[in-house]
Amino acid sequence: MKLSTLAAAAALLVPLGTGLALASPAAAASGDATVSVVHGIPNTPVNVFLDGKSALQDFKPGTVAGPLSIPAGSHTITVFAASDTSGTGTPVLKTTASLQSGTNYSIVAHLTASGQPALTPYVNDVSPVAPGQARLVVRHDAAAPAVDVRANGKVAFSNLTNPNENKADLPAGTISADVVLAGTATVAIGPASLDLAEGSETIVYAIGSAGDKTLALVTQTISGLHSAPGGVDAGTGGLLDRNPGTPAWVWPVAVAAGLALMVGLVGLRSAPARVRR
Amino acid sequence: MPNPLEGKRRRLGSAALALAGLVALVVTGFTLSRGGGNAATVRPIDPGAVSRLADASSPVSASATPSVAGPLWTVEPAPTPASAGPGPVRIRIAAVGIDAPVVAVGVDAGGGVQIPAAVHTVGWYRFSPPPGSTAGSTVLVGHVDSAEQGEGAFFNLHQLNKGASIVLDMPGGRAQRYQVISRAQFPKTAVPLAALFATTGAPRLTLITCGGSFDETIRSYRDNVVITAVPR
Repeated sequence: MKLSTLAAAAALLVPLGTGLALASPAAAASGDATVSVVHGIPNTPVNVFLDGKSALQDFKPGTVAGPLSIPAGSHTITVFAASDTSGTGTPVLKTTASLQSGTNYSIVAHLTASGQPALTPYVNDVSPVAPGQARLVVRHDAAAPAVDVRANGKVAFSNLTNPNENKADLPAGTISADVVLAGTATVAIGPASLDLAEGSETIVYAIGSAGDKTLALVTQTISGLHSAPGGVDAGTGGLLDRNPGTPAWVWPVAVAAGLALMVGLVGLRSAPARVRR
Repeated sequence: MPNPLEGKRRRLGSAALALAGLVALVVTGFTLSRGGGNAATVRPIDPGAVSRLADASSPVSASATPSVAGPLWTVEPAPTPASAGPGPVRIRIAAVGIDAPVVAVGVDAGGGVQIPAAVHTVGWYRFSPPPGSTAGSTVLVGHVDSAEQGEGAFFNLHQLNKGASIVLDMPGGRAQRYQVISRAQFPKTAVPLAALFATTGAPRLTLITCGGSFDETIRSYRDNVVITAVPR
C-alpha cells in the first residue's frame, strides 16, 4: 500500500516541460514605414510638408524630428523657407520617396560636398544587435572633404565622403568621438561624448560647411535593437540534485523489505496462537 | 506435540522480521520521496506570468510613433544620456534566507550572462532596466552552487513561494520592494529568453538560477529556475 502510493507520487515528479511561446520584439504596424527627418543645413530654419500637408513648422538646423509611421508607398516631401508657412512658394528642396513597409528611414536635409542643399534618404539598419552591443552609424552630410571618424582617439571609420555612411556594432558604453580630415590628425569636429546604450543605434551626422566654419554633429538614437543573452549557466556543483532520481539501492531494499514484512506477517499468523499457557 | 518454547521463538522471529521489513520500507519510502523531490522540478506557480508581463504594453514604448493622422513630425529633444541608473547593491529575501551582495554583470565570451565568480554574490544584468524603471524586466542571476565553492546565493531560490517579499537595496540606502507572483522551471533548451530579458513590458524583477537534474558529464544543470516578482 505504502509502496504503491510512493510509486504514484514518484510518477508525478517527472519533469514538466512548460512550453511558452517566445515573445518577439514589437514590430511597427504592418504596412507602415518609420521615418525621421534630420536638419543639417546651418542657419536656415525651414517648414516641411508631407504630400502637400504641413508636417513640421520652424524646423531648426541641427535637430531631429520623428520617428513617424507613414503608410508604405510613394510620398512627396517638400521643404520651404521658414517664412513660407503655407508652402505655396517654390520649395527649397523636394524629393519623392518610395517607402517600404517595415523599413526605418532617416531623410536628411544637408549640404553636398560642394555646398548645395540636398535631401538624402537613408535606410536605418535596425536589425537586433548582439547582447551587450550597440550600433554606431556615421554619415557624412557636410560640405567638406573626405574625413576619418575616430573613437577614443583611434580611427574607427576612414575616408568617409559625402553623402556616404559607415557603421559598426560595438560594446555598449561611452566613447569620445571626433572627425578629422582623412589621413590626418587635423580635428574638424569634436570631440563629442557619445553614450552608446546597449540595444540601441546611435547615428551621428556630420553637417554644416567647412568653408563657413559651421561644421557640427547631430545625433539621432533609435532604441529597440536589444536582444537577449544566450542563457544563464549558474551551477556546476550538482548539490541540488544529490539524489538524482532514485538512488540505486532503494528499489532492491524496498522489495526485500516488502518480502520480509510479508514473510514475517505470514509467520505470525501461522504460528500457533494457542501456545500461550 | 510442538514445543511451546519453539513456537514462541518462531512468533518472535516472525514479528522481528515483519518489524524489520516495516522499518526498511519506511526508510526507503522516505528516501524515495526526498530524493525525488530534491532532484526534481519545482512546482510551478503561474509560469505564464513570464510571457504575460513581457507582452503587457509598457508606458514607455507606446508613445514612440504617433499616427500620421495626428500631429506630424515633432522635434526630438537632444538625446539625453541613455545609460540607465545604477543597479542594486544587495538582495534580501527573508522567506528563504537570502541576503547577498549584488554586482553589475554583462555578457560572457559565449554570449550568455556573466555569473559572478563568487558563489555568494548575485549579478545584476547591467543591460536590463535598473530597479524602479517604468518598463521591462530587471534581471538578477545567481549561482545555485559551484563544484569548488559549494552552495550559492540562490541555492534556496526554488523554494520561494508566491507572495514572498524581495528587497533590493539601492546605492544611497534606498530600497525597491517586490512581491513574488510566479515560479517556473524551464529546460535550458526552451528558456523564454526574449521574454525574461525584455526591456519592454510591465516593470518586473526576474531572478534566474539553475535547477532540475544535473548532467555529470558536462557538470551543468539541465534547467533554469525563474522567479518573477512585481513592484509592491
